[in-house]
Amino acid sequence: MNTLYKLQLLFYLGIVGTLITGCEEYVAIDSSNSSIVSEDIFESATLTEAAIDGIYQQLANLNSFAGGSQSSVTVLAGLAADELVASPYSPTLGQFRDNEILTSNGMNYTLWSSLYSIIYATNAALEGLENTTVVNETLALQYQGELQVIRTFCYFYLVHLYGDIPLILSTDYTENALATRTDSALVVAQMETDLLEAIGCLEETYRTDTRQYCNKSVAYALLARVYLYTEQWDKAALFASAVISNNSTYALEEELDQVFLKNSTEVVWHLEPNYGYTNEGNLFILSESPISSYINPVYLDETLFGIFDVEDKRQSNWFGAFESDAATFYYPYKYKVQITTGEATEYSVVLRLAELYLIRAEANYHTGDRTSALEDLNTLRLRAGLPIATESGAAILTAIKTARRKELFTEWGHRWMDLNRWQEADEVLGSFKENWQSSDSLFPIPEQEILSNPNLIPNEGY
Amino acid sequence: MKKNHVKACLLTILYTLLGYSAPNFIQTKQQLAQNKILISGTVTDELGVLPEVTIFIKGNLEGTVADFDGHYSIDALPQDTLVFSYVGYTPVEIRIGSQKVIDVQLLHEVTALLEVEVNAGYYTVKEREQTGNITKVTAAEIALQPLVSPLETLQGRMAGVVVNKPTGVAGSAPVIQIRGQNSLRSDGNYPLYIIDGVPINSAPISGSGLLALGMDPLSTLGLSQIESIEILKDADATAIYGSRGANGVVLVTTKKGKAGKTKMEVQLYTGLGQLSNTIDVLHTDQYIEMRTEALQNDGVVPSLSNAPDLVAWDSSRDVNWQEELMGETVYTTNTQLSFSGGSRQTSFVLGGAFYKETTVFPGDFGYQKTNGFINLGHHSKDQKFHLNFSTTYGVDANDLFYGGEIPQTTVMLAPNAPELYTSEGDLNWEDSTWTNPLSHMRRKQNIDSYTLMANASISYSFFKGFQLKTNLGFTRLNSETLRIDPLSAYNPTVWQYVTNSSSRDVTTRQSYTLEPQLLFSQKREKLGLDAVVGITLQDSENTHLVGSSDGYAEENLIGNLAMAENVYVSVDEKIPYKYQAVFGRIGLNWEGKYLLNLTGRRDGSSRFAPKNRFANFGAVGVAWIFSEAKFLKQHLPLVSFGKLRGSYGTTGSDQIADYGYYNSYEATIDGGLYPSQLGSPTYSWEVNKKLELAMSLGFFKDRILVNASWYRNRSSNQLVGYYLPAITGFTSIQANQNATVENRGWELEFTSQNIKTNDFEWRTSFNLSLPKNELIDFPNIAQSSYANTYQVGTSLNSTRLYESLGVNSETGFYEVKDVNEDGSFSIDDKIITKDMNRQYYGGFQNTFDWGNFHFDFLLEYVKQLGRNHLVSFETAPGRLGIIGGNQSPVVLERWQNPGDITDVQQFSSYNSYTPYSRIAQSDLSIIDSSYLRLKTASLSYQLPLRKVSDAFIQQCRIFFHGQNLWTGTKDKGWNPANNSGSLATLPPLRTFTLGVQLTL
Repeated sequence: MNTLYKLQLLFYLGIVGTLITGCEEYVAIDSSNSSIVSEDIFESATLTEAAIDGIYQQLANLNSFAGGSQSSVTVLAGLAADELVASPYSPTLGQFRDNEILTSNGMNYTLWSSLYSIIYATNAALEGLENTTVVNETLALQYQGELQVIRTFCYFYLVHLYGDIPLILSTDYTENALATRTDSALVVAQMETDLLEAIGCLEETYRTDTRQYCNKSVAYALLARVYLYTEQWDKAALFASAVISNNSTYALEEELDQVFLKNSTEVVWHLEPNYGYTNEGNLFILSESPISSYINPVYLDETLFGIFDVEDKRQSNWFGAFESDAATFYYPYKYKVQITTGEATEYSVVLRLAELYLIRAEANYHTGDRTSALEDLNTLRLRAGLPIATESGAAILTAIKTARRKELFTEWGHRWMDLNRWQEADEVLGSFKENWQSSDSLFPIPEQEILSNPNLIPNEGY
Repeated sequence: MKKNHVKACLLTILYTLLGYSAPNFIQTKQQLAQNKILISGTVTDELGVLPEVTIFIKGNLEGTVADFDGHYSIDALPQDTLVFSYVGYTPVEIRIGSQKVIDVQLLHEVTALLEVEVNAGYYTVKEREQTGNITKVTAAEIALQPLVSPLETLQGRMAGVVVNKPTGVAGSAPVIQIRGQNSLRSDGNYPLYIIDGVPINSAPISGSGLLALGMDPLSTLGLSQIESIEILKDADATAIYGSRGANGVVLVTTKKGKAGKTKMEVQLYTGLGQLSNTIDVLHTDQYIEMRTEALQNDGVVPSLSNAPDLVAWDSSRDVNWQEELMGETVYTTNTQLSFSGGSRQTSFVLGGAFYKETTVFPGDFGYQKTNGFINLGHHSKDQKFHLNFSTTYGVDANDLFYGGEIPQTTVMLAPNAPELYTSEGDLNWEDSTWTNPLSHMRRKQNIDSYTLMANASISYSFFKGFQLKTNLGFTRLNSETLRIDPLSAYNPTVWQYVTNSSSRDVTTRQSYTLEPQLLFSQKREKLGLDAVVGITLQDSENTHLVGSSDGYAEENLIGNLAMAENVYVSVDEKIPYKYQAVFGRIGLNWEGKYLLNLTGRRDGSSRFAPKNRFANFGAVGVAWIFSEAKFLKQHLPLVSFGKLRGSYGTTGSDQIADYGYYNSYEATIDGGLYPSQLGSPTYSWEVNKKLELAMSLGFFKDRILVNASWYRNRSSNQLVGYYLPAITGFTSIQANQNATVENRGWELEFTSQNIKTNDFEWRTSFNLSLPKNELIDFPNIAQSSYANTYQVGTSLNSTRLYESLGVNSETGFYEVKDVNEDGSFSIDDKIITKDMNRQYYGGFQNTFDWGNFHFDFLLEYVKQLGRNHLVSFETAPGRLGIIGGNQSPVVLERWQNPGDITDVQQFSSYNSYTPYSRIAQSDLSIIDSSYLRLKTASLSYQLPLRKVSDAFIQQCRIFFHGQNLWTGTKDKGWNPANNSGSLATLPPLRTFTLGVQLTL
């Protein structure tokens, strides 16, 4: 009898034992169906291409600094300058318009974090490309160049919107989480290095039949802009010319309503929108009074409309008006499609030839070549249907500055950064806005960043 | 190495058990050889014959069962003692001696309070002999409340348990916290929910709008179906749940069938409800005065664009928007029906319930749930084989709108805001000068949830004292949300730019569990031993699908994907989770005086990287029932019960995201890939060490029972979504933080039977909790990402504030102190720290029975700080913000002229934002948010029916119940229980119900 009981017990022990032994394997699970482990990306040429694509798509995303929506450079810097007005219903945007940006402002945080998010993605891809064996060498070089251009593009806005900012070139979060602010001169030096390297890597031609992937001209154009901001006039003019002279690819569009189309020949770099319309068009084009609108909470400052001559085609072509019973609200009408479910006919233009003409004009003015400066200026005036300018001396510079304001309004915060670059913000905005202070020329480092990184110090005045 | 160690341990335990029990079988078998006589008789109770009573010989497993007429016969020895037992009756023991016919009458069992069996999950224990801290509420205490979430019924009833319903929307998840916040992560503090042995994912189901805090995964469970809810708090009670026990365990037991007459029970009630609170706001004359003065102060001329409320809107209107938009009466109905009965061996319950509740909002909104359940129990005649099967299926439908802005908009809407409808009956947009609030309600959200829970428990006792038991469980929850965004919700001026669209969110959670266990129980002379050893295997899969669609031609087609022009899928994920464990328990009981309880568990979870998947947890609990000591019995006869107990042990938490341990990329909408997660393969289990000391005392034959416990839980190796600055590319990463959070406190429970006579009885119970939450250790906090979020020495829920300087009497604007005088305001200037946790809380319950009347009420009290109107209204007085511009009447005391001394700044629309937002982060926004609330009160009357066993109606009870009847507080917000000051939530409903309960 006793033996039988013992045998039964052994039987239970057997079950228990088997289950325990079999256990360690039990908790292993299959890989996720919705994400891919980073290490696997650069083991495959297709996935690598998708990862590069993803960065471009993220740039055009609604929450991106380059997305053209509410938290984009275009809108926030436009508000901070004298271009855009925010609806009283949107206090977060209103803070930019009033130059009273709180460190807790959510739009500011979105702007900041989207810049660094793209920087992380480019750093991760650059690290991945270094070790990959599956992508062929030419393509790997091309990718590398594109990534360096995109990274520079991000740092350009960081430096000009926030001043000294942490220069992050790796993906090591333990180190990066405690990064300090880097002197902006060093950041600019890194931008120059990256672009010069990129020029060595990039092809002359675009990768596809659109101009959404960076080629050598994009690097030239961005470099011209970097030199303009650092007042290296010769170099700025040189690199602007490198693009302008490539007239088999680039030419100014005759008609102003062609400039922002997908097929525009004036475009050096554009981003394919995530949907069938650009976020700029979707946000700016007013379909209801911007005063009480969630969808369209910004409109143009009426002074901007006023500075255009009546015969300036840009006024009739690039301005829209929304009539409410008491007031007329103007809006930027460079992008004509507000919403559609069809294919995109407009792409969001990042760099275009007109800007390069203006860069070269300004650079040439400073090098003393005033004839060339006037010539470039007049190229754009002619297209706008204006008589040619005949100014001389310092008046040429004033004319170039006005031309930049008129040509590039509500594009990429040009006006805001120009005013700061020319050190005219105090003069222009000080008389224009009630609460202007010199320290307002930089946006605040977001509160969350200061809170989570003890080494970051706030900007002056915040 | 560790694996072998555990195996060795288990073997040792089992062999010990074996060696200990073996001689007993031998003895029993030897007795069989002797001569026996036949004993027979009849078993009755006060009503007549009692069928199927179990009769066995004491000290022996052998026995018989009486037949349907109560007759029995059994072979026994004259020196044997017969034991007659039947569920619900006090067992009777009779020594045979010379008798051959033994007739017995059994009496209904009256269980003394301390003899109540408490469910400890893998075992049960008498309250008297508990070594751990487990509190219990039974069906009778909670069943009448007109609530959707089962756990909401616990509010105020248990010490150490905070149940907060942040918003009064039916179906929203209550936040339950057992002994405070252990994890630095706000979503790492869910207790473990176990229903009839099957774990249910306790994280709320994601929702949006008014349900943004999530939906209750238990909402489909019917209140009437619940037999009891037990909450496991200390290490002794929770360590057997190992890695999932850190935040406490909630055990829900559903009703089981009982042998006896077949019964039908019906309960019906219907009720009326309204929001339990309204918010005082300005009337039109005051409002217009404020706005006009604000624009004057700013030097701005009112225009259509900056002040439609002054220029365009009818200043003779004075609308009470809370009445208009949130003032509907809520109708509640509940119907439930159940059948139960069974024979001695097999019993069943089968039932169903239907519950419906409308909303305070105008329109066709409401919540309803329908559920059905079956429970079957069976055991073999010799009691060796037991089987229990229960299954529940519940369906709930929550029809609401998805915009969450309604409560706050309603409060802040200008009192002279336009008519809602035009004369043609369309939404009025008043020439695009406002957003019609009804447009938010046109964006409907329908959430349908289906929950199936099934579990089976099979056990077989191979030989005396040993039982092999297996629990099998299956649960599947399926929740589908459809949100509709029709063109009619938009101002017609934008119709050309928007289309009819919808979004859909489908969640499923499915889980299998298998728990084979070996139980052992033996009582030998003075020593009682109970042991369990078992294995848990759990295999879960959650899926989540989120999609949207647009371009529907007609409003009534919205949602039909075949009719959409475009369909987008943004999330389609499947997340497996696997979990396994080995667990055990040994309980020793010496003479009912000294008790020792050892529990342990080894856990493995797929949420950790392969190297860190396993961890061990365990606890020891001891108790000494000192009232059994002779000297106490002699010298302190008033003390009828006294127990000292203590426990210490470890539990853990694995409430973190799955797949958190690697860097990954996710697809973008256009087919690219983009980094989605920063991973760290090094993190491992969070550890929570719990210590408890407690004393229980009973006086006057246990008519007064007092229970006091002191606890200290220390949670370390914190698993946190560690905040990262965005410069790293991400805002958080999963990691163990070397920080320790301590929750300590006192809990006091008191029950008393104040008066008991033949027809009157008055009982009181009272509980008090004094919790304290503190971050006690965080090495190098200054160098960490948490430098400015948490402070060592303060509660996790403390808030850092500026010091208010009040209103500057010259400028008329709020000012806060610039402590470091650097000209800017940052965290360094926030020198005031306030703990926003409850300082103490509890409940006070009284029950009166007088003849056929029964009356009870529950008062809930909380002492805490809260936030005032500066936080609630979010907009400076005088400003017309996007949510509206109305304000609390307290703003009328504003600054007007230089020299005015007041604590409300001047009305201003343009210059007010910065000073206002700073003051809202100052100590001026802190108020006393303590409250006393009459949570429930019920009166019922039992019809005096003749007590005849074959009467058609056995019982009939009529009841009247009130919920959230009265709240006393200084807090002027929606609901002091939600002390964040937010206006975006709904206060709970005040409801009156009338109903009847019938047993046929």
